Amino acid sequence: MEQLDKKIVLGLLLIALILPLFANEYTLHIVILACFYVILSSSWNLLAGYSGQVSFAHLALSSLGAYTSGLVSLKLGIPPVFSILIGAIAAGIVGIIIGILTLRMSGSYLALTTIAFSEIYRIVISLEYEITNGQVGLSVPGLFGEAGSKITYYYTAIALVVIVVFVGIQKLVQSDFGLTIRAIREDETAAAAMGAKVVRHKVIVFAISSAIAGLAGAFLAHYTLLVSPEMATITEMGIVISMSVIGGLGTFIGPILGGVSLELISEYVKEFGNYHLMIFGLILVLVMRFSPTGLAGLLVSLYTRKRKAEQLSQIRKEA
Amino acid sequence: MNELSPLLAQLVNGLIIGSIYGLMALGLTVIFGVLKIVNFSHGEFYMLGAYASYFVSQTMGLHPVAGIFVAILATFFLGVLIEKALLTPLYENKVERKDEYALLITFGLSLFLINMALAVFGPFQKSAPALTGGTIDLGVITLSSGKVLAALIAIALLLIMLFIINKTWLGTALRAISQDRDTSAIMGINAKRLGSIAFGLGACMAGAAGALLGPVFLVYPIMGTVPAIKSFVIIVLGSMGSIKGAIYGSLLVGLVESLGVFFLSPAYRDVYSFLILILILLFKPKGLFGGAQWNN
Repeated sequence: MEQLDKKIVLGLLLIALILPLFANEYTLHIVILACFYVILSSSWNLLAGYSGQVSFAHLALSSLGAYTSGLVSLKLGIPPVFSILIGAIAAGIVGIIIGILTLRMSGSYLALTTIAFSEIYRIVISLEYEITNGQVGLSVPGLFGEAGSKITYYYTAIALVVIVVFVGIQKLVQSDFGLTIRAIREDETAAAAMGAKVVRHKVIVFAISSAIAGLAGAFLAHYTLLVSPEMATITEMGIVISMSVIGGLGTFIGPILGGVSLELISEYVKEFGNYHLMIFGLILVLVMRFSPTGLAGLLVSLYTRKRKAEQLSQIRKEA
Repeated sequence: MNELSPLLAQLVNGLIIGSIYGLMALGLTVIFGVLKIVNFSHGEFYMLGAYASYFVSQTMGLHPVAGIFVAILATFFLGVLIEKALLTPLYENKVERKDEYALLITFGLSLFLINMALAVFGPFQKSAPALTGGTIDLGVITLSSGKVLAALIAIALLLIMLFIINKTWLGTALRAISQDRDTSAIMGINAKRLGSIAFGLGACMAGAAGALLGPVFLVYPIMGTVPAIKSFVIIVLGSMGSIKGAIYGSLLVGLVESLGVFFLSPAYRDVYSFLILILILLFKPKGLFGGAQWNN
């Protein structure tokens, strides 16, 4: 498993390094979008996959980060590099508040509250046009000025963000904290009996994952130069959930595989019409029903089968 | 006409909408009570019910009330099929984390159904024919008789449902499963089949609500999202799994919404129920009817 993860990550890094040498601006744009989705789905996976708390407000919190960063840089003139961080912190704080409200209860309370929060948030930002410019969206300054001309800058920047986020998530999951949240996922009562502070851990993990979502949203805002309520729809949430689940919930490599492959599929399918979401929904249902470990699980079982076959033939040769 | 009549009109409106939300929330409660899961595709059964009744009344030209029956039947059988296809692993101990499985699979179903409706029916908003024309003049306020009829049918369906749950063999069996699945299976109840029926009943109540509200609002693929979220708020408000809570909770949400529209602003109609949700989570997280079981 670990070995396979390393191989895939190294392969993707290599592709990411060579890509700007010969890819055109459109391809780089798609890759930047894919990175955005990969960050969102791995932070959602940190919450849902590792700690077992399903939230539907991830995209709403991402959009909250985007609006906060956009407004702070517009109204106060703070450079986007810092306003993106402010956006991430704002999303984290709202995450703590929602977490304290709902994570005292187990089961579906978080899901029920966050789906309501997400929809209400979208309604409010669409209506408060004096602050958010409503459905039209808010024009915000770019991180490096105009997007088109400096796309390689944006590409490098988001690649750095992806690496930092991934190393962070991986360290967190492997730490004692990561062990505790996985114990909570498996059995809250048992974890509490072993002395784990269940609610506090759940709230912290929710806050971290929300802050990462806010960071990704704010980055995307200063890349597309526009923040609109579109980012906070349940449909967008559906894309991110599909990516994590199809890739493999609770695995490190899953959201990367899911994010990249689904973003590529949707770019391809969009040429024929708006069918990609229907396909994602269908695959999501089928994966949950028949192969809950997703693409990552599939890869691992193929890999171990190959390894076993190799070892077997080795033994036969020696014998 | 006196000064209070707009307020009174809003209150009656709130009760009418509340009774139809009650149908949806009771559907969620039946599913939660028997299967112990929250159906996140509830709004899509609402949407499909609205489309079914739209096609019966608009395309085939039958009376809209016939459309409601077709909607109920169609969503019932769809619900039964979906439960059999997707939710049976929950009871065969094939799933490690049941909440998460049910949540994600019903959410995926909702994503699929919304976008299938977009592909098949198109994104356009359709207006379904009203149940009946004309208005009822009560002196102080005037009501559209279509809305009143919708509320009356909703109340009739609620009563039928309560009768089924409380007085029939089916209802007794469902209540038994909701209390203890394994023991009721020992007593000879086919928990598997009744689970499918419970999901079908829950789904068809959402379908009926959609068929009733289709003529009042418009019919389009994402019409189910907001009503579904309101019924989520209602079941948290009235304690998950409590039938009493679902009914009182929906009337409360309907009233609070209409009061908010009257005193604050109509644009934020959908936000008020969320404020109730926050207050409930802060002060009474188990809901107003906390601990209430099925037979209450």
